[in-house]
Amino acid sequence: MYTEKISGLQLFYLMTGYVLGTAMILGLGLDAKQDAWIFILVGMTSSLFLMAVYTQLAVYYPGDSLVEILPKVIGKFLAYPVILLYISHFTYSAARASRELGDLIVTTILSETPIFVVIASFMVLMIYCLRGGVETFARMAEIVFPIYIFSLILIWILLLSVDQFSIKNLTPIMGMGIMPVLKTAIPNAINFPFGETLAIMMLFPYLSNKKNTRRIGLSMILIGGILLTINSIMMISVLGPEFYSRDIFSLLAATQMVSVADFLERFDALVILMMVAGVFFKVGVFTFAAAVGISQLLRLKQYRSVLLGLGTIIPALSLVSASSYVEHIEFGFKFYVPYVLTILQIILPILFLCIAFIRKKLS
Amino acid sequence: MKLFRQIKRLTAKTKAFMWEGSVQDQGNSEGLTGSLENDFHRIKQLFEGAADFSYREMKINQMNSVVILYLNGLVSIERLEIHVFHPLVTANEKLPQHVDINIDDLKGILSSAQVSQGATFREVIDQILAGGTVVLMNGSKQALFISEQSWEQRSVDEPVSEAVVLGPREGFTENIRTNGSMIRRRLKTTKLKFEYMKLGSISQTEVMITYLEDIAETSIVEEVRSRLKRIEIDAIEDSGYIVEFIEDQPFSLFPQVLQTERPDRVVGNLLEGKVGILVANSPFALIVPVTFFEMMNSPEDYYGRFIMTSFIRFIRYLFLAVALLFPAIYIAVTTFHHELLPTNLIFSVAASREKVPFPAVIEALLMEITFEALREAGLRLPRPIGSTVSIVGALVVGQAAVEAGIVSAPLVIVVATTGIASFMFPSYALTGAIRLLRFFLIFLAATLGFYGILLGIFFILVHLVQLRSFGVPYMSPVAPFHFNNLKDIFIRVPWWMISERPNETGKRNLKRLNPRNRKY
Amino acid sequence: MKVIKLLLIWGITPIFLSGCWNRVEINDIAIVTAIGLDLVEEDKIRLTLQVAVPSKLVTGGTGGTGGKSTLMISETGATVSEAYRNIQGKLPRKIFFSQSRILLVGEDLAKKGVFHIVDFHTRYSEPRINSFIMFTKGEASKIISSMPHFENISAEETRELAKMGVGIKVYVRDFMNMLLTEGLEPFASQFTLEPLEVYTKNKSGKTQALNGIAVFKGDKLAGWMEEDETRGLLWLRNEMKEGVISIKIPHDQDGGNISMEIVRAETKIVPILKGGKIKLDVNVVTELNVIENDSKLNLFETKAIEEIQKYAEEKIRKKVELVIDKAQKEFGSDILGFGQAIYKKYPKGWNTDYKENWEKEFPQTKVTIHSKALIRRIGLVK
Repeated sequence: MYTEKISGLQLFYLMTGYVLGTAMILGLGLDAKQDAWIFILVGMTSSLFLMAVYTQLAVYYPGDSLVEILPKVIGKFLAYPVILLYISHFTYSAARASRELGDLIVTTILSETPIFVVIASFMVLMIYCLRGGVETFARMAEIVFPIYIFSLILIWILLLSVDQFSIKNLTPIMGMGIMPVLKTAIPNAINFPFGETLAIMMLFPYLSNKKNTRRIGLSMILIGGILLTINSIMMISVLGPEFYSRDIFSLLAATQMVSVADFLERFDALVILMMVAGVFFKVGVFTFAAAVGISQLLRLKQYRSVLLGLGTIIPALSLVSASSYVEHIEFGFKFYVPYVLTILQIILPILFLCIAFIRKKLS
Repeated sequence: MKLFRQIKRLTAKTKAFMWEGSVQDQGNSEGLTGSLENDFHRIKQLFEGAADFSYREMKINQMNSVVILYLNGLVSIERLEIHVFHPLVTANEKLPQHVDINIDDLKGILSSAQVSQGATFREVIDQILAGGTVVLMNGSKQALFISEQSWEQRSVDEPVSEAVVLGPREGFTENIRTNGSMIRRRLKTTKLKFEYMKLGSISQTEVMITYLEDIAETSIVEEVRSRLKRIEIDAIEDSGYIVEFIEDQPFSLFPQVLQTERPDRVVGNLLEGKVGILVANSPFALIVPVTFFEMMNSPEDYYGRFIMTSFIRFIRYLFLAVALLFPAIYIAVTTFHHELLPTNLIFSVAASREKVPFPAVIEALLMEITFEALREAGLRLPRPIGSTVSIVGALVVGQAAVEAGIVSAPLVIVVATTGIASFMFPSYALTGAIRLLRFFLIFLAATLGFYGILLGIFFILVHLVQLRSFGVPYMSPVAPFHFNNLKDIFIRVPWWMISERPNETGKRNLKRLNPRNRKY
Repeated sequence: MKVIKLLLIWGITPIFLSGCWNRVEINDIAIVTAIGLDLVEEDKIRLTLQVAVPSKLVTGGTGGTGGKSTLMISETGATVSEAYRNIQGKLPRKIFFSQSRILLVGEDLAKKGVFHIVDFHTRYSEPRINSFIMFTKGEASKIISSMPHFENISAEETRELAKMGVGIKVYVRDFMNMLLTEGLEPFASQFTLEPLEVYTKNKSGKTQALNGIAVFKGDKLAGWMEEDETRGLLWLRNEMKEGVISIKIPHDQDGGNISMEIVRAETKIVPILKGGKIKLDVNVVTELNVIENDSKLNLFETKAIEEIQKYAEEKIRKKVELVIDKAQKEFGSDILGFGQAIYKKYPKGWNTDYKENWEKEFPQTKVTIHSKALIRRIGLVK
C-alpha cells in the first residue's frame, strides 16, 4: 500500500505548516484578550500529551494508518462507524479551512468575486497537487514552508517598526488569575489547532524512518505552538487587546499598520500569501487523510480516484455548511470545536490507547 | 466527450502505424563473395545515381587487382594519394608478382593510420557512407577500410548562445570527433567513456554517450542507453531532435535536458556524475539528468570569485521572479488592488492611464506580444537590419505609442524590464518556459488578481516538484531537501568547501576534493 | 490518458476563471484623499470627499495644465455608508477610500457620537485603519474645501503635518482602541486653519495647524483643549518628542529668559492602592539642552544649573497639572489613561471596585506630580 515515502523533515514541515495554517491568520484565544498567548501556551503543552497518545498508538501499530489501526483495536464491527466519523470529520474540516480562505479573500481583496470561484479554483490546485501523490505534496511543503516562515518573520520585523508597537499591551498578565484563561483554553485551545494534528496518523505510514515518529509529532506541536505564541504577542502588541479580540483577521489588520519610510505600506499581499500557503497545508492534509481513509475503508488500490470525488464534495460542503461567515464561525467555535472535536480528538484516542495497551499486555 | 473520443481514436491509429517498411538501408548483410566483379557490380548498383560515388580499379600485380571506392568530398584526396594510391601503384615493387596475395599483405603496404577490415556488404556500404575508403580485392572475402575522412567544417569558435567573460572560449563544432576530443583533452583518464551508436534510419547519425565510470550512476547510464536505442526515426538533424524523445515529461514547458555548446560545461557536469550525449552535426551537447537550479547556473559562475557569483545568482533569481511576475503584478495592482500602491505612485499611474483606451490586461498583452515579435524579428533578420528593427521598435512601440496615448508609460517600463529580465538566464530553453508562463500568469492576474497570481505560482510549483529528469527530482536539492548540495544553488561557496558531488547523481563517489585543502 | 488529464486540468482552470468580477481599471476610480463628516438637519450625516484628479496632479501627465488638482463632492445620508452610496450615485468613477489618510469630523457630529463612524472606518475593508482622525470646530466640509496647501493635495500635507509630531498623533485605530479600552477615554487632534503671518497688516494666507485637542467622553465630544494643554497631554502620554521650554528668571536675580529644548521626556503614571483608596503618582523626567540664554546667570556653574532645573521642573509640573485639572474638573473624562494604569497594576481591584463607577471616581482621584528636569548640555558657549 505505502509505496510512496516521505522524509521526516518533509513530514515536519507539512505538519507544522498545518498547525499554523488558518490559526495564524484568524488569531487564537480572542476571548482571553491580552492573555491570548497564555491561552496558546496552555493549548500547546496539553497537546504535547495528546500527541504522545497519538504517537503511542502509531508505535503500537507501526506502518498502519488510523483507519487500519481501529479495527485492530476495537474490532471490525465497532470500527466502521468510528472510521466513518473520522472520515467525515476530515472532509468537513477541509471544507471549513477552504471556507475560511474563501471568506478572507472575499472580504479583503476580491469583494465582488463569488466565493465559490475562490474556493473551487483553490480546490482544483489542491487536487492537482494531491494527485501527484503524497511525495509531491511533501515536496511542495519543502518549498512553501520556508517561504511561509520567511514571510512570517518578515511581517514580525515590520511590525516592530510600527509606532504603536507596545509590549505593555500584554499587561496585566493574567489579571484575574489563571482560571479564566484555563477555562477558555480547555478544551478549545487543545482542539484547535493542535488537536487537529490527529490527521497526522493518516500520514505516519508514509514516513520513511519510523523511528522518528514521536520526535516529529512532538516537535511540530512545540515549534508550531511557539510560533503561534510569538505571533499572538506581536499582534496584541500592535493592535492592543481590544482590537485583537475584535478583528476577524488579526494578522491582516496588524500588517495594515505597517508603514516603512512612508512608502512601503500595505503588506497585505504577504498575508494573503501566508493564508493561501497555510490553507494549502491544512486542506491538503485533511483532504489527503480523507482520501486515504476512504480508499482503505473501501479497499481501493489507490487513493487518487477518491480525490476527484472529494474535490467536488469539499467546495460544495464548504458553501452549504454555513450561509454566512458568522454562522460558520459560530458553529465552529461554539459547537464543533468544543464538543465534536473534544470527542474525536481527545476522548476517543485516549480510549483507543487504553484498549490497545490492554490488548498488548494481554497478548 | 466526442472530442476526447476522437483524440483517443487518433492515438490508437498512431499505435497501429508500423515502423517496418519505412525508408531505410536494410539488408545487404550477406558476406562478400570474393569475386571482385560481382561484389563491385553490386555496390555500384546500390550507388546508382549518386554522382559523388567515385571508384578506381587498378592492378597491383599479375594476379591481383583492386577497386578503391569512396565518396567524393568526404575523403581527403591528397592523403588518399599519399597513403593509398601511391603504395598501390608502386605495389608491384614490394609484392611478389605471380603469387596470389592475401588481404593482409595488401594491408601491409598501406601507410594510412587507420586501416580496418570487414566482410559484409553492410559494412562496406556503411564505411563508404561515413566517408571511409574501401579497398576490395579479387579473391578476398574481406575488404579493407581506410579512414581518411576530411570535409569542410566550421572551425572551433566561441559559443554564441553561452558567451562568458571569464573562462574558456571554445565551443563545440558540428564535428562529433572534434567535440569528443575537446572533452577528452579536459579529462585525461581511462574512466572517461564514449559509447558510440547510430540513430536515424536514413541519416545514420553518430551519437556518443559519454560519462565517467565509477562516478556516473550505472542505472542512469543504462536508462540513457535504452531511451536512445528506442528512438526510431528517419533522420536526426540536431541534438534538439533527441531531446524530445528522451525527456521524461514531453508536455512540460520546462526543459529536462540541458543543451550546451560548451565543452567545459559538459565536463563539469560529467564530474557531477551526469551523462553527456554528443550528436554528430550538432554543436549542442545534451546533459542528463538536470535540475531546475542547474539550469539557472552559468559556467562562468565557477570561474569568477565566489562572492560576486553569489551576488549575481541572487540577481538572477530576483529577475526570474521579475520576468515571470512583473506584468501580472502590474495588472493585479492596477485593476484589483489599488490600495497596495503608495499614494504618489497611484496618482502617476492613474494619470498616465487616463487616456489609454484599453483595459490594462489588453494593454499588457498587446505590449508583451509586440515585444516577443520584435525579439523574433531581431533574431531572423540579417544582422545589419536587425539593429534597425530594434531602433524602430523602441521608437515606435515605446515612445510614439505612449505619446499617442495608446499605451501608458508605466506599462512600457514594465514590459521593458521583463524583456531584459528574460534575457538573463543562462539556459535558452528555460527562458522559453518563463516567457510562456508569463502569459498564463497575466490571465490569472486579470481574473483573480493577487489570489490568481498566487494560485498560478502554486500550480507551477506543483508541476515542478512532480517533474523528474531521468529519475532525478527536478527541484532537488530544495525539494527533496539536501543541505550539503545547497552550497552551489542560490549562492556559491568557495570551491574548497564544495567537498561533495551532488547527492542525486554522484552518490557512487561523493568525494570531490580533500577538505584539508585550505588548512594552512 | 495522461494527455487528456493534463488537458482537463489546464483546461478547466481558465474556464473557471474567465470572469472578471472585481476588475476596476485604475483610471476608473476616484481616489479619495480626505474624508469629512458633518451633521446636518439634526440627524443626517453629510459626507464630504476630497477626490484627487490625477491628470492635473502629475506634471508631464497626459492631462492639461491648470485647474484644481482636487475635487470636492458631498452628499447626505442617515449613515456614513448611505451617504457614501449616495455620492457614488453622482460620481462616474468608483469611490476608492484606501488612499485617504485624513478623517475630519465636524463638531456637531462629534458631540452626537462618533462610534458608528469609526466602526465604518474599521469594518469596511477599503479605508485604512492607520489614517488620522481629527476634529474641527465648525463644519469639516468647509475646512476641507478651504484647506490651503503647498503640495498638490492638501490632505497629503495634513498627513505630513500630523506625522511631524508637533501636535498629537491619533490614528483611527488608536481612537478605536481608546474607545474600547476601559479606563481610557478617547481624544484626537483638533484641526484648525491659522494665519500664516501674524501681527502684520498684510492680508495673510492661512495654513493648516494641529494645535488643540478634542476631548471625548465615551464616543461623544466633551470639549476642546487649547495648545498649552496639548503639550501637557503629550507629556503625559509619553509622546513628547521635541519642543522648547522657556523659563523666566525672576527680577531679583536680574531677570531674563532661558530657553531649553527637550531631548527626552519620560512620564510614568504609578497608581498606589492604600487602604482601599487609590492615589496616583505622576513622575515626569525631562532631559533638556539650553539653547538660548539672555539672563545674567553663569551657566558654567553647577549651582546655576540646579537653579534653572528647578524652574524648569516647576514649569513642566504646571503644564501637566493644567491638563490633569482640566480633564478631571472640566471634562471629567479620563483621557490620561489613569484608569488603565490602575487596571494594569491592580487588575482585581479595578474589576471589583472601580470598573463600574470610574466615571465618578476619576474627578476625585488624588494625583501627585513629581517633576524632574535634567540639563544635559548648555550649548556651544559658556
